[in-house]
Amino acid sequence: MKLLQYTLVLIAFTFAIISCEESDDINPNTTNDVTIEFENVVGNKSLVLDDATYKNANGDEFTVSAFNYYVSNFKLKKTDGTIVILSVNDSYFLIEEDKNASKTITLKDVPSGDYSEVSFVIGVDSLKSVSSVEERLGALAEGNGMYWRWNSGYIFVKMEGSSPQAPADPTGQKKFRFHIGGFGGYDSPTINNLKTSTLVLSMPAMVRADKLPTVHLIVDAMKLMNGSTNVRMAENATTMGGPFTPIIAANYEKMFSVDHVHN
Amino acid sequence: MKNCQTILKSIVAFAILFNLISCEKQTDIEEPEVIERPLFRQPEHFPKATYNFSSPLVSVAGFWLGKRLFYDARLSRDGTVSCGSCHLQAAAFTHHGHDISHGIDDQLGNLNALPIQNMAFKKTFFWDGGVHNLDLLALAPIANPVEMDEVPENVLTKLRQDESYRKDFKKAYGTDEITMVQFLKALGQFQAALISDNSKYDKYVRGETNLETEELQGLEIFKQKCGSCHGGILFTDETYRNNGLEVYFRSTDLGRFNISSLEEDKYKYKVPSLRNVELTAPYMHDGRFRNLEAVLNHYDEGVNDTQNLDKSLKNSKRLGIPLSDAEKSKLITFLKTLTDNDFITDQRFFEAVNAK
Repeated sequence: MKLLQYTLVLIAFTFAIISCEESDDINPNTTNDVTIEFENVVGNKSLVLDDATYKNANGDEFTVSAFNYYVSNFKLKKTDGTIVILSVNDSYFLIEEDKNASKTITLKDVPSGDYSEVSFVIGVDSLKSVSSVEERLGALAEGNGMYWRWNSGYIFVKMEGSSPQAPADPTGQKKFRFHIGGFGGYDSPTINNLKTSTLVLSMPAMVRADKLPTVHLIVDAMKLMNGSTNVRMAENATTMGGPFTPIIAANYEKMFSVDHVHN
Repeated sequence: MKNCQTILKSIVAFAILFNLISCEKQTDIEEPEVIERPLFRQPEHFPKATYNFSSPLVSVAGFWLGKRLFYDARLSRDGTVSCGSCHLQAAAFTHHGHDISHGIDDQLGNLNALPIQNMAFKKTFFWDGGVHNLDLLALAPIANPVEMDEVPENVLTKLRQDESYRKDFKKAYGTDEITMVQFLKALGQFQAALISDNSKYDKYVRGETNLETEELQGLEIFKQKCGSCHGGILFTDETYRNNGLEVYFRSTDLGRFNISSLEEDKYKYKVPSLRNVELTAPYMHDGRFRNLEAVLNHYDEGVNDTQNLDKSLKNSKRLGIPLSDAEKSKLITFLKTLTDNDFITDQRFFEAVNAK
């Protein structure tokens, strides 16, 4: 009799465990957070501000003093092809190399599912770029050093540093500055340097009511200088707006890659 | 019941309004005998305002705060330059007599200070249209190294140390927290209230007065020869054009190109409004012409075929817009009907008159 009882209990347990596993069927009504980590590197070296020396494809040596960029308008694609567009208002992030906390972002309220692709805008989209002053808070505040006050618009990607090949400024310093922006214009067209990065995940990121995946991205600052047109410090060291910016933007469009996914 | 509530609300609204008016009357001892028009108004003959007058952050108290900030030199790095330093009301808020303005440390800029008038009806600001939101405009001169050369956040730090500013922010926004949004919104709404809609020409358009014969003749010439760019009630179509000014070797300014980085925008500047043009000499983006005669002589016989010259200046056998001396004289007579004395003497905009 007792044996039967034990057996029944055992069966019941087993069943419970099995059904628990089977209840891993995705419940689309639940949501959770997706974390994205941005690890900034320069070529095959990690990015160390001011200290480390790097060399670009043109053979120019340089150090980096600042590397900041906006990412926004996140979209996630499920393994079944469905695309989930995240709430735009919570979707503007400023990544700054000198602020560790900024390099990990959280996408909130992502519906449960298996995701195979993430895409985002590098920069601040045109609609947000012309928004009212009341909306310019947090990452979008004008005081973050990523806003052109004389040309109402955000700097999408900023990289600064020194290079012996750069022309000397009046104080004798050989600095380079890449400030790339341009959302396409308000009443009349301007250069449009908005780019979208679409990244296939190395393994699906699984979002469940009790699972919050982390996607670890590598961001290669060297890509600003190396691409279809290589930057030459002697000529392009000061690129702050202007006709050369689309060349750097076309280069950095490819600076993001997926390193790994934690589930 | 509903009616009752409406009546009650009206009474309350009336009482508040009455209070406001009586408060203003008590303090504005120097108030002249003129009927004050609303600060934030939509003139019937103007295009619809681009500025949002109905924002919860816009109010009479916000206007007075904005005015105080406009005339406060603490907005500059060393406390020597205010917005009002280069934008004088008597000259329709331009820097009368200065081709380009002196900023901090007596440095010179590149461009002629534009009038601050009818900003609430414009799409973009500055000669190159670089700023497209009135609330964001003030950041440009504050941060410009040759104008006020100050970090906007530093201005807030200075204001926070002043108890009286905290009070004024509280009056305007209900909180004495001094934030960037509130600071910019105050300057924005002050500028939005600088509406010039009462020139002789406005009165003519509204059927309140007639124009003299020569003024009417000037108006006809204007419509034929100037109206394609300076059209509409604001006397600008807000496009960017190259009007054939000689490109000076010393000048490095490239106009709209500075914003767009597009080759087809080199040497183009925003077509300026001609309202109060009599008061805003000198003229052009770099203030090279001392008077209106020089401007008209340029269009008549001084146009240069520089890169991206506007097509409208290539219509006749020679470059420019042929004008006889008689036509020039009539045009100038007409342009003077665009002078709005009520605007330049409105005491609410005076530096010395304060709200209490």
